[in-house]
Amino acid sequence: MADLLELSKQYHRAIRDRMKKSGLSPGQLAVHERILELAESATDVDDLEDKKNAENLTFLLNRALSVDNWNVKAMAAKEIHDDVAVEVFEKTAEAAGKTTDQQSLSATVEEASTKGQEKLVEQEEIKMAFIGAVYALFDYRFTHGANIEQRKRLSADLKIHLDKLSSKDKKFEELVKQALYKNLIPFSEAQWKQVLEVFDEAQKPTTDPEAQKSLEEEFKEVQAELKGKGGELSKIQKDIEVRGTRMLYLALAPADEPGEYTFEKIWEGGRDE
Amino acid sequence: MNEQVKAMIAGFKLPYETYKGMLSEEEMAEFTKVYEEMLSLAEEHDDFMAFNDAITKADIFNRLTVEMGKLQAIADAKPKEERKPPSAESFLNQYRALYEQAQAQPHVYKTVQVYEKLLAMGESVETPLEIVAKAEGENLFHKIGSMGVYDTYKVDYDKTDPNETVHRDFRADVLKICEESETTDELTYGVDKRSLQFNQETVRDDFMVQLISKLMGSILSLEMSKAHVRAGRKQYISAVIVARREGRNIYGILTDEFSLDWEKIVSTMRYKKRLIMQKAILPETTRVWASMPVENLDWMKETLFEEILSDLSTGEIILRRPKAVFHLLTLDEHEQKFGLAAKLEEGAREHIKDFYWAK
Repeated sequence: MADLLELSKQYHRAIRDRMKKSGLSPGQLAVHERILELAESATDVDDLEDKKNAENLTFLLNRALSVDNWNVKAMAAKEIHDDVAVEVFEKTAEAAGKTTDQQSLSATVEEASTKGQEKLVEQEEIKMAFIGAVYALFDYRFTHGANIEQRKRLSADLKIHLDKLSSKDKKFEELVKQALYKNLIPFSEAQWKQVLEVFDEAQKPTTDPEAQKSLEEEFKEVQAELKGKGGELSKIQKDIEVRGTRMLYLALAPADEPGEYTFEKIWEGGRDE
Repeated sequence: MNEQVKAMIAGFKLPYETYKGMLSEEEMAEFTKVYEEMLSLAEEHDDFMAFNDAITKADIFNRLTVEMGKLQAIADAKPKEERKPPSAESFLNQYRALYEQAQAQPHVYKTVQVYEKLLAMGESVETPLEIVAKAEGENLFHKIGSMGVYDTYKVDYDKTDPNETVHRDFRADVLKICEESETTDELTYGVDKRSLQFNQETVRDDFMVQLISKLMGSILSLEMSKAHVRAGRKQYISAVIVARREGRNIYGILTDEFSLDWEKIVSTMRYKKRLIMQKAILPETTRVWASMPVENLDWMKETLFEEILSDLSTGEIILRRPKAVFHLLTLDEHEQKFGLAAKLEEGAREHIKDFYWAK
């Protein structure tokens, strides 16, 4: 007959050693170490079970499992500077750590994680609004200064995102200083500066008078260049349309490693098909 | 037996085996009766829907749930000394049920291997504790969980277009984390951290993709505006000037601020894909997609270098005879008229047919 007490010790030692090595499960490690301490003075496996029950170690292990798990989630969130997620996970771990029985552990964790989830969803909305605002500002940067219609569209788009941020008590100018938000866009410091430079202007879009003047001048030059060339222009366009077709391809990825696609023509027809 | 039917039955095999190890045959009698009724129905109906109909009509799920409640009450009411210690066999039967459940699911290879290792430990042992200690020595209980995650990500990895490097690298890293983790907390930490990083990378890459799409948008606007002008609609001269200027601005930003010139864009396959991708074809994989005429890449390049970035005047680019021309895309009406959706799907399925996950 196998020595059950020794087997029990083997079991807890294996877990303890792995947890010691990882350093990520301090709560569970403490419980397994305590069980091993009790096992030293236990007469058999039933005696060990009684000792464990006397100290409520089965519950304490479950609780530690929950606390450790929420804490490692917080650690992961810390790596990307996600302060909201860190707070949510740490608070859940803290609430779990204060429970005294299995029932309250389950209920507390469920309540805390549900509340936390609401905060995380809200933060996702903030992130989306922030990204939307950056896109609008960035597009504003490269839009022609006389393209007032596009400038107005971007401004309206920007307003939607800024209003969304405002409804969450957030300001774009503040978020842009935080690593979590800055890391969502592949910008250098100079690019962030350029985006902020158009921030006020993009909210009250106007035509850039210099760009407008230059556009008008160039318009006249082009008109002059094309004067009397209607036939030639029409011929060029016709030639382009005759040479152009309408096609559809099937693109196939390489089997294992990144590389060129293979293209198979599925259909080809005329432009007016 | 049908795989889906097998999976549904396996869900009840676990409690059946668990209680069988704890209670007597008499105490188990009613539950066993309903359980065996379910097995007979499974033998009779190889089609999942037919099996589902049959067990719904026989009210099997509700009856099993009620009987399980009764069994738990019997087990809870027993004083400690009367409780039947589970045998090694009945302990392993619980895992056998989970093993069968895993086997019934597609592509759960690594998890199945862990269960097989665990079940093999049952030979020549007398008590569950011997199995538990041995299995813990080889970390099998953790591996059941980590290999479950591995199997899920492995099939996702294999279905992903190898050129979608942001997605593929993320999945490859998760596979490594699963293989290397030794505790649940290591697994959670590793996967959570990598997932959060992946979310950021995706948003950052989307920004670049959008910027490249905007360059493509400017090239197309330029083409359309030129066509209007050539057709005598002179008011479009402004649109030609604006599209050219904006294309120049975007390309300047791509090259100067992101070190991404045309050659780099078209040699980065996931960017090239975004330039010409018309739509996805199969929901299960990104390996196949519908593309606009691939010849349009020559037209894009020529328009960019010979017109947008060139020293030619705007009038000269309108008067220019291009070497490469724009080939139109197929629209919904062409798909319907020429059955193109079916042709695309047929070609896509033919291409993936030899992958294990498509069989």
